[in-house]
Amino acid sequence: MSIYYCDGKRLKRGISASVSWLAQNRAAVDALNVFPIPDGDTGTNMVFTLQKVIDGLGTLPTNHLPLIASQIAESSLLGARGSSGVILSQILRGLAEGIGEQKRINSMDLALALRIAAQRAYSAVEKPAEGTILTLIKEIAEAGVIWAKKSKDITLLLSHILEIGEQTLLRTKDMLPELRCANVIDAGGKGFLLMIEGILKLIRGEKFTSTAPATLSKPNIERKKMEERYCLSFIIKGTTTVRKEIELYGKDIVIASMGDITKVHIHTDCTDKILEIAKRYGTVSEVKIEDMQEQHYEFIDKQIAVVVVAAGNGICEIFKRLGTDIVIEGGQTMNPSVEDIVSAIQGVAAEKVILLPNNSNIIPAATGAAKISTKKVHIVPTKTIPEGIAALTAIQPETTIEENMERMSEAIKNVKSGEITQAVRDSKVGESEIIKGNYIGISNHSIVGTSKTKLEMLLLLLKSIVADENSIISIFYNNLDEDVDKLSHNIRNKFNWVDVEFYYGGQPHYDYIVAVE
Amino acid sequence: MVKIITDSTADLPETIATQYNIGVVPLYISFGNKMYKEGVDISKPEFYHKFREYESLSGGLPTTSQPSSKLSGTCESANRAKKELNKDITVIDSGMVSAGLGLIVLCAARAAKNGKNKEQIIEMIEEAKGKIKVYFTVENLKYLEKGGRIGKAQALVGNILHILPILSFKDGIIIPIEKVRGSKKVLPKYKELINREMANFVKFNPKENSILSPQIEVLLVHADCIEKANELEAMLRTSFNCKEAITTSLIGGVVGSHTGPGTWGIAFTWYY
Repeated sequence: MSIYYCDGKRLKRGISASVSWLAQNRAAVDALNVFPIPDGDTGTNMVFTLQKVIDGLGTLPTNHLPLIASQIAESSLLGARGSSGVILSQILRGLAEGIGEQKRINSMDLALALRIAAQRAYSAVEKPAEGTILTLIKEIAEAGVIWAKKSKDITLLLSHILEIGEQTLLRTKDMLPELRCANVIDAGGKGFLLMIEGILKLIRGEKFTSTAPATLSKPNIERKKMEERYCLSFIIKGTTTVRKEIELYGKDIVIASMGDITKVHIHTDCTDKILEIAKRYGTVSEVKIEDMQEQHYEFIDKQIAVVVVAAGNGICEIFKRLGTDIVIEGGQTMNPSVEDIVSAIQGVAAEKVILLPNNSNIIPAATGAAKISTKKVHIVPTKTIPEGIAALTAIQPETTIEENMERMSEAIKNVKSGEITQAVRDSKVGESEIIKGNYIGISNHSIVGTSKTKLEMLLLLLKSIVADENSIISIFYNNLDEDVDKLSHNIRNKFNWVDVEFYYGGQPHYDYIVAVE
Repeated sequence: MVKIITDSTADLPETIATQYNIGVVPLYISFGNKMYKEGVDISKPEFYHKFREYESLSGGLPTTSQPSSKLSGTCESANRAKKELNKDITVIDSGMVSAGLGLIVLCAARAAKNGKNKEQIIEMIEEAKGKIKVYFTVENLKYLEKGGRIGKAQALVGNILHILPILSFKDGIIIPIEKVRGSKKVLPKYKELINREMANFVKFNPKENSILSPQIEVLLVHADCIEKANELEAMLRTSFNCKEAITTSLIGGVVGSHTGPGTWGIAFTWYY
């Protein structure tokens, strides 16, 4: 599809698409991260930074392009995590500056804005290194300007710079010794290209399901002692001249300012000293300190990855935040193929994989995939989403896979699952007549009851599975318009001894998924 | 007689410090550019009031010079002080803060009061360091995460699905040892953990054909969440054989700045 202009609405949709595509591939980007510190968090940091952008846009009641662009720039700076986050925020800021006061932009405006973005990105970094996201943004901006002279189609421009970017990305390995040694391409650059790819997917109407990359193996790096142990970042309100004074106390400095707000990112051993200095320049806030030594060891030692099968954006998000490396799209009535599962397993950067099928129909395919895969795959036979969540929560990163398998089996025993769905046709199951359109409650693969209303069915289902010793009910609903307050009131009235929690699951097929522990 | 000196991160109640003649060196907390001596310029309840006010107004958190990354910053200062003074001083790195340190100090001070000599007390402290177990729970992991004291991944897990971690220390680093969903499950988990730990020390006495179970001594601390502390205390009283009275204390500002309010936990040791 050809696109000849970008306005506020399109930018909003574009940025959302780029974030969701990057988020899906976060683990793959993390796995590439060896520079400047091999600690495997570039993808995570970029996603976090962009998450703040999405949050910021959510509350912005306008489609005015300049406002949206500057909001994106501002929230990305405030939310920036890690050096890649700060650099990304400067790219977004450059884009906003390039957009200026224009209500819509064409392909040439976009290419020129990318050029400003590249300049902004370079100037944030104290010692810019080639072979990083900086090189990438510079080269695609230049290629973009040349291309935009020939074609006004933004879709074509994006595909062209994506192609150029892929070539540059391959060359990063030869530009930066650290990348060559580890035999990887640049992580930040890869992340940025995924963002562009996300926008193209949106334009082309392609599905956002993750196709795992070909077998991903770990970068070739060794355990090493960090020269500087902490990654410190903070915001100073009131000044922009702090760089000179803190330079002495750390390295990998990335500093970016907007108005009177300055974001500082530095790798250092002297966190207290730097904060002390910073306080003299203005009000310091959003102080974040990360122990890179530990992150580095965690990254090197990462041997176990988790792959789950799930459906629904809310459910998938919960699994990701619980530490899942790859979520394979699938569930009731949409079983993933053996190949889908194999490619996900091969796509994680660990030799041992824990696989949660989360549906009894998927266990056979999971078992098949485990046989084919070259990795050591441990299947926890979770039959429902609540079982999968309980199993994942039980994992302790510090212990062995065997002990974790035991912990997970134990956790599954302590959770009861239930689902509510709507009958698609009249039928008879055992004694009960089911009328099309009525709600059916299912627990343990059998029908608990049916009802004309969703709420009544939910209460009926809960009544059959909640016992005195239970302490928490979690309800995953699939409709964003769900009246959670009303639902909560009704349930708490009847089950006053338990905590009741609600989460948006967005799952297909089931109106509610219920977990009782 | 031996005098025991510690710093304000030991989180001992003032009454205990006075009773056992424990010297408490105050550490500093700063809210923005304003510095306070813990327990001197700012009381513990005042600290939490100010913490909430400061966080809601400025979005910032107080900073402290200690505990340092290795938790042993005060030891370095103490060693420097020792060099300047010509006295018989032994500096011991407990590797712990808050309840863990407090319980060691309490045991040492009690021994000192009972007239034990320096060598006996040092030996006792070294033994206690290996024996004392610490479990604690924070309501919101964001404070520990901001200070780099817990891995990002762990913090993330804690912020969804109402997952509460039960944390401990290993080599001076905070590690999660269990996770539970929902606050109602925390106490049963504590009970299970202590039981599991104590099971290692149940002895059979063949002479008297009896079973010897250890008794526990607990120091319970909380960061401005007295209800949680009371529930925990009640559980400990009913479920375990406590040798001494359970001491409950507010977590001071230095530790509280890092954990945030809504943190509670215990340090315990055992005797036959």
